[in-house]
Amino acid sequence: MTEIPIVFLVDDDPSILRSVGRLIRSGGYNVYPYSSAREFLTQLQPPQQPCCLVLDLAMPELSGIELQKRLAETQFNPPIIFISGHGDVPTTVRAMKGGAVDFLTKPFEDRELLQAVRQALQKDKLARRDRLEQTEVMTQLKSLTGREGQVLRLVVTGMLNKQIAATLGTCEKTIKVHRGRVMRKMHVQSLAELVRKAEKAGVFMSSPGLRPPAQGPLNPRMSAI
Amino acid sequence: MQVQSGNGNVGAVGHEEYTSRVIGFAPLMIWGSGPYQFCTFFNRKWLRFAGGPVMTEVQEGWSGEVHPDDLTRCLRSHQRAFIQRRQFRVEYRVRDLTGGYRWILDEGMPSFGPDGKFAGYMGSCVDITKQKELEEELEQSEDELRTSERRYRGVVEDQTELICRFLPDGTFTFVNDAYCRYFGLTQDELMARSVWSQISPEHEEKARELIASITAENPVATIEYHVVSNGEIRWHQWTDRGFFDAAGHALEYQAVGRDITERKKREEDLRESEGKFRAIFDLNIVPLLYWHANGHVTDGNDAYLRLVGYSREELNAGKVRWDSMTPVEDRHLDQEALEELRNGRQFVTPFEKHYRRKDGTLVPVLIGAAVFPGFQDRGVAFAVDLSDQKRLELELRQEKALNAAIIASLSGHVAVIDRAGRIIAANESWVRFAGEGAGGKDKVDIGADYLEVCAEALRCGDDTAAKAVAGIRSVLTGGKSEFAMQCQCESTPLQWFEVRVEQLRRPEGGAVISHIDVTNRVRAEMEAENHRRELAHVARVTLLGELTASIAHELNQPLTAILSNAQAGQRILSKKKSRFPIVRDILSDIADDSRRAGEVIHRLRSLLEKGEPQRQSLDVNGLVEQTLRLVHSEMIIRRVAVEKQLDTTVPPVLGDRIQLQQVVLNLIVNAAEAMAECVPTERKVVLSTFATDGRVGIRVRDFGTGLDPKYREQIFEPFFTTKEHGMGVGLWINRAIIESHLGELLAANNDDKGCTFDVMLPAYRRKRP
Repeated sequence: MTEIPIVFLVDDDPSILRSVGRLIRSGGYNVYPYSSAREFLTQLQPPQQPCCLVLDLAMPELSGIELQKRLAETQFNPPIIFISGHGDVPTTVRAMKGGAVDFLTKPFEDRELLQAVRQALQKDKLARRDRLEQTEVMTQLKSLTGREGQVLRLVVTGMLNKQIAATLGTCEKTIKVHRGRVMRKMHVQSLAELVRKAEKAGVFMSSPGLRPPAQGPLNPRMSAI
Repeated sequence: MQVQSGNGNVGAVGHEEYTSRVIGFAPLMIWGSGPYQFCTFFNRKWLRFAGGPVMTEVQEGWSGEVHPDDLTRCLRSHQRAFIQRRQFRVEYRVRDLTGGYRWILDEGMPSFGPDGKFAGYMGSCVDITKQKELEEELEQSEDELRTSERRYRGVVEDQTELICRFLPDGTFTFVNDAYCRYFGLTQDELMARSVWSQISPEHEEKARELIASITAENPVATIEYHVVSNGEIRWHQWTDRGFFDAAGHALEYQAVGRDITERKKREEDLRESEGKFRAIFDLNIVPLLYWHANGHVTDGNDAYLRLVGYSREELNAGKVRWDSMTPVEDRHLDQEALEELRNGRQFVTPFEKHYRRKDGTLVPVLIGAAVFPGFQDRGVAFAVDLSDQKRLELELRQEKALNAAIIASLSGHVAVIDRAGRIIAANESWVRFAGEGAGGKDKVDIGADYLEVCAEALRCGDDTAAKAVAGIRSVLTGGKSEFAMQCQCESTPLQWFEVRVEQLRRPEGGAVISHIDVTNRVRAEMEAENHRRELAHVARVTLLGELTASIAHELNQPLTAILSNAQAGQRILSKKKSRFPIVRDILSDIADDSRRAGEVIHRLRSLLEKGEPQRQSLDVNGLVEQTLRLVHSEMIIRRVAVEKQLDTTVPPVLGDRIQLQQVVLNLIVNAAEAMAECVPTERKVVLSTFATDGRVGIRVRDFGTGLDPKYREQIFEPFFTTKEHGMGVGLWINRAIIESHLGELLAANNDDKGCTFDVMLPAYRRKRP
């Protein structure tokens, strides 16, 4: 049951909370209703399963857009579906730019809402997988030695072993050894796979001279080099 | 004495010689005869008278010298006296020695001798020619007197002059017919009166005094006094003549009189005019002079002297001459005037010339001259100083020029008309402008009848002309002091003119008409009006919008809840077999209705959105077609037939497509709803488009129940509705939308059935580049 996705529903109108909650539940989702943005923020427990947020745009105290902004500042930012009595163009644009999955005008059709919820959850699922993958890559990167990290950064730029050796001031054979270790530690079979993982971890550099950002997903040790 | 001595000594004897000597030289003619009838003696005087020798006289006798006419009578009286020895006395004519006859008185006396014996005759002859002539004259004059008396009576009786005779006590002795006629009394009536009764009381004393003044020495007197004739006082002139006896006592008076009232009046008039002239002369207002053709000013009043700058002494000394005072270039004018007078005219036409004053300055004068009656070379004249007039004329000319310049400088079209509507002045821009409209400059130029021009325009169907004519007339007749109207000119680009008619403030009346191009002002006003309307609209819409927004919001939430609940229910039911399949239908209906309600709210809100309306050129026919597509299915559901009568030539309008579509849609739906009660075959909406008077109309006609007349004014008010479930904002919003498009939304019941809504919008003309 833990796999049942969660839909957070935030609306100041209790009848909306109830009816829309029912509608979403009829789509086979768990619904967590909140009658205000603040309530949602204070009670929020980021769940393990996929989730999304159905958010009323116009609410007293803290509006839907503001909540969207707050969430963007945290590590938890589930896909958001806005529902609004009457959305004007600028608000809609802001909402979509802020990453909203959809913007529905009340009253809306059940199909529209459930489709939007489906899309949102799919998006969240993908995001979670990405995050998982990234964590994995990070762990693998952490396992690399400093020299291996250097070699990795140069390999993904497309340099030949010979060139890398010249750059690092060592021989080609040593590089070859390092490279083999990197491939093993990063659990990749091909250079292409390595490049994809490195990219995901933000290792990709356009030029060998550039340093990775001070705070990044890279190994702190690597950064220190 | 001579005759006496002659006669006294005839018979004296003894003194014969002395006697014969005395006789012979006596101044009397003396003769003697013997007893036989022969003259024996003639004295010297006789002989000198007859001229014959003594012998001839004695022998042949004196009879041969007697005038043949008198001879018989003379001889007979001689012979008869001889026979009877009697004295005789006979007058006859005798030829004297000059050959002419003279009258003599011959007297003879018989003489006897001492014995008593007849001795002959002695006689004397006296030349009585003179006497005879006098007698004849007397007789002739007596004849004449008799004739004249006869004439007199006739004259007197036929006289128009009044003649009367009266006694000293005033009793009439005679009045002529004229007198009777004049006083309207018969002769008898007058005879019973006194002469004084005919004289007016205040002049009676005067008349009596006059009569008293008449004496034998001065038997004639003339007097003028008032008489009373038929109760009217008239002036009379009477000449009275007195007749006196030897002792100088008055016996009778004769009076001849006539009515001189007219003459008196003329005299008085003359005196008056003379007096007036003199008064004018002395008044010294008008310079007056007596002139002579020789150039002299013989007299002039002080005003004249002041005008020419000379003193009276100089005038009296003959130093003032009109010819020398006239500058050379003006002298021909004087000559022409004199020529006029010489040709027999009494007056000269007044003419302008100059005088050179004594101080040398020139003064313009107006000269008018007249001759004295009977003269051609002298008379009176006036000389009016024209300096002021000339100055005024100059000023007037300058003022006129200024006025003309002012009128000409006015950018508006200005015309001045008289009371009859005739143009008496107009500026250039008037003539240019109005000429284009009236079809010819001459129709609107000076002298043209402006009212007629307007009336003609009116006949051509120009409605504004009617208003203009009425306005102009009301100002001309004094009904209004001014009148103003605006009219639109059929030109490209459109022009607006303000026509102002103002009373011309002068006694003759008239009016000033001006046309001023007020296009810019009208545009500004229209823009301001637009702005105002839009503001009003915004205000209304804002109010409505706020209200509706909150209502919509409040309704939208429950609607959303309803729909969501219904749909959730449907979904739940669809998963398992329901014991109550009708619940599924119920949920379906609920969902449908909430959808529809949501649609309405949504539409309302989008309508009231405070966005900028999108104005664009719109084809109303396209608009109608699009709207019909939107309501097509609804019309089918409502079983309403739609008929289109679109005029494909209508010009476009400027407007917001969505808003106008909303209006038409609302009107069509309203029309359909109005026919809900009708049998389906009668449900019909007729949509038509048309163009009129610069506007485009969209007409929506239904055949329903029509508008209740008591709500006619209210149907456009907000929240007014006759529908059971209506909100009462549809028509209000429609009107607001149409007004924001500068248009008009009109509603009227049809003659037969239902009502008609007209959306009137201004036609849009693209500005030409």
